[in-house]
Amino acid sequence: MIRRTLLALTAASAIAISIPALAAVKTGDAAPGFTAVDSNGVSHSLSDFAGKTVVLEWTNDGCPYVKKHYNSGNMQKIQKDATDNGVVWLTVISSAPGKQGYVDGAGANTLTENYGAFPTAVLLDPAGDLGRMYDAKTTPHMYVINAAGNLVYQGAIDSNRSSDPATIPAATNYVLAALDAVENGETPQTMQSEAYGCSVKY
Amino acid sequence: MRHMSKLVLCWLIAMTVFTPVYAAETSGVEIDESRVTVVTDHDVIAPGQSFYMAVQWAMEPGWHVYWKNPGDSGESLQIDLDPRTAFMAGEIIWATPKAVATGPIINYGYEGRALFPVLITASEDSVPGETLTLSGSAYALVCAEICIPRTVPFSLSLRVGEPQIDNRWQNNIERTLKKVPPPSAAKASAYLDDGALFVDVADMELADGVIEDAYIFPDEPSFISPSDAQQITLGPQGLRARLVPGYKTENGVESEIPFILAFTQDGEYKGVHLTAKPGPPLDVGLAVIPSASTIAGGEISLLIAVLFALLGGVILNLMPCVFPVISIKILSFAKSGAMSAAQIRAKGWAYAGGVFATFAILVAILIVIKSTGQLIGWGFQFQNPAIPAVLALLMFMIGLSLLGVFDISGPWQNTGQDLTARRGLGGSFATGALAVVVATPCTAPFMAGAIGYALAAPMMSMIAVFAALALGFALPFLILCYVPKLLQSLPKPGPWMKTFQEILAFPMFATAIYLAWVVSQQTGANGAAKVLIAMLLAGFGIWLLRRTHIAFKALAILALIVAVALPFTLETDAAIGTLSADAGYEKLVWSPQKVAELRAEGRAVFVDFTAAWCVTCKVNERGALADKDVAAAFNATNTAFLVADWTNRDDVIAAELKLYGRAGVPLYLYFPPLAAGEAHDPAGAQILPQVLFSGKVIEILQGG
Repeated sequence: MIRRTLLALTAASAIAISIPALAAVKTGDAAPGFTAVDSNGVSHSLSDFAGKTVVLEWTNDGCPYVKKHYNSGNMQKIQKDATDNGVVWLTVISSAPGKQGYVDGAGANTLTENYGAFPTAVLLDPAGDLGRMYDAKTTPHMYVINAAGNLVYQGAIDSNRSSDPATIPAATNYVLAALDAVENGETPQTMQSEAYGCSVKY
Repeated sequence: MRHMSKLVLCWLIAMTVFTPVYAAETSGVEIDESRVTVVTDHDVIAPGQSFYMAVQWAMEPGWHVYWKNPGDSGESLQIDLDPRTAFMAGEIIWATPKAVATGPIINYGYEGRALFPVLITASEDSVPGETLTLSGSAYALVCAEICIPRTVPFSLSLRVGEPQIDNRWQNNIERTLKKVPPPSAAKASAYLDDGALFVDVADMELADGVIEDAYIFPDEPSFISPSDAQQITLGPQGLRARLVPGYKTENGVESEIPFILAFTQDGEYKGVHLTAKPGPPLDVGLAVIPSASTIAGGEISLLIAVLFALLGGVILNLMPCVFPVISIKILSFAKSGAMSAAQIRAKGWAYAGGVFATFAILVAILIVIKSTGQLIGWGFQFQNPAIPAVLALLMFMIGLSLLGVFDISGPWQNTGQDLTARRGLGGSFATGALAVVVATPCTAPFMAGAIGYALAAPMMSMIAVFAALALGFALPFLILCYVPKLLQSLPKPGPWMKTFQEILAFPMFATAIYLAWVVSQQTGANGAAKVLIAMLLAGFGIWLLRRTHIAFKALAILALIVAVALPFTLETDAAIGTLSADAGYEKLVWSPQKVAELRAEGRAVFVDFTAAWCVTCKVNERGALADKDVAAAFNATNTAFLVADWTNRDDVIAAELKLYGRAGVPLYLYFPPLAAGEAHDPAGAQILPQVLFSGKVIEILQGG
């Protein structure tokens, strides 16, 4: 017990979180807490958003699958729809320095501006701690955490695994479906899917 | 924004439509890292004929395209024919893929030059003399560290007439078709155990030759977690793979899992296609959970595990924490030299019974704990500080008794010494039982392999191993009872016995000191003080019992009760570790992510799994690991030294030990520095021997 308490304290006091590498987070379980700094230097903890629905979106602006959803405006549309409904949208960049998709705070803000994106915050995770904690494997890799703090969806953004933006309209968007379900107090029909895209550049 | 414009350029290239080439072979389309050629094995075809078309995707080193299940990221290569074409296309025929690592992410795909054949059937309506156009597009996500989607349209002209083969491409396509994993008649079963997904393959017919680097590629995603290490162990009748389940299997295996089993045989990389049915473990001639050590050096079969357990049991008799107890019993034989052979044999069997009974209780406890799904390891008794504390007290009191401070026939009840000293068969039985309990800290380091095997094995194997351990433990004593000559060659009873008995007190005290030290490691100085106070109270109580007045007797009993109760108030101190900085090199606290971090920095990592109660660990730490040359080698190679302290129970460490097929410490792991582009594999360490020699350690550190 003492060990566990110490672990929790460590987790709360630092961005670095002690979780074995690539330990999967189980769908339906409590989403693990974290604290991370955003592109404006502001620190956010998952616990700050207790009572709200939280979306985590892993991104890398160099990845064709991210482009699929940003160049088509699809991601921005989902972000706007979600944040207008009071959902907290956290975009996470876990690319290591020197690797594709790595940006500093200013770089991340420029991307947000250029894409006309609507994240609540863009979390910078160059060490990959947050990514490993949630076992984020691809960009995009999406997670939906409900108001009770449970992970109710993880996986792909939609059902078409192609990098072709033309496939977006006909695909089932799992994130929107999960958000709709959560808003109606229901459990999403699809709670997990295989994420697709580029690998996260840890 | 140069960065952006470059990416936009890549995107444009990817989307560009290339001019189609009219031939039975397209001239290769070159786009930066890729050169794509579309070919057929026939130049002229008959109406309605089936033939092979193939897309050859050649890549610069470092780039890869993806198999039908791309693994943890990426996208499968696709070949589509134009809908208006006069041909029907089958599925892509996939050669055995390879596991390709990008950082910690594992993908399934192909590197270098890969050929993707498709069976094509021409329309029956085609007429000889006619030229048909076979057109469509090939799409692939091509990745190195970054990913680029490529779409390559193609168009081939095929004449209808007397069939004519293109020799070069037919040979190349044949070669690829030979690399397609053939379906195997072997049985395969998939099941969950303790959170891990096991796939057993039995009755596999393989040509002679050693199989190496076995790997499982499921046809579809989500059945396993591709980025986690696979532990595959070969048995006499098949193999067993231990995998991390994907989300479709983490709550149980509900559907069939088709997969490719890939391996290297005689230097050739190949695969077979199998389908695992949900079901019970198969008899693959293995009971052991695979570990890196078994992959490195031959697996332990049940028979060998039993033999090791037997031998280990015999060796345990010589352990400092066991020998004194047995000596006492031998002493009692010497005392009663007048006993008949039958009496002595009966005593021997009673002793063996005590040993077996205690092991049976331990096995029962292990089975209960195992079945409740807890992570446990051998030596777990000693992880509760009350146990070594009580044993320290017991050893102290036995020592006092041996010195003649109090009479064995006195009112001191319910203790090992009293029981062991009893003349009858009950006394022999109790000696056997006590010997086992005391043996635990010695067992852990010596028996790690067999016990790791037993704990991970099916219940019957576990019982067999523990039975062999018990038999080995009881054997020397039994032999002594059965070969009366040996007993008779024991010295005749005489005054020397008193001296001998008194001398035996000192190993007892030494054991008590060792146990008190274990407690101090677990609970700190206050805990050790409690043990010493318990000893003081016990000694005082025993002395008081000699008084005749009832008040003194009451006080004595009170003191003894407090003495025995005191150990149970001990609490584990989580902050206590065995880190010491006096070895001449830096020692860091272990965690799985620390290993990953240090390796990511390009450093080699040495992990020392240790515990305060582990004698072998201490010997290694004071010996080989304290050696000046070893310290110099650690510093010279910039190898990080991590300590995983298992003195107090720790689930993360227990899981790591289990990963390497161990249930106890010591365990020494060496992770060499990562090669460029290599991903950290937590299960890929080199295992060092349990007894370390400085030369061997230096050799490994220096990359030998």
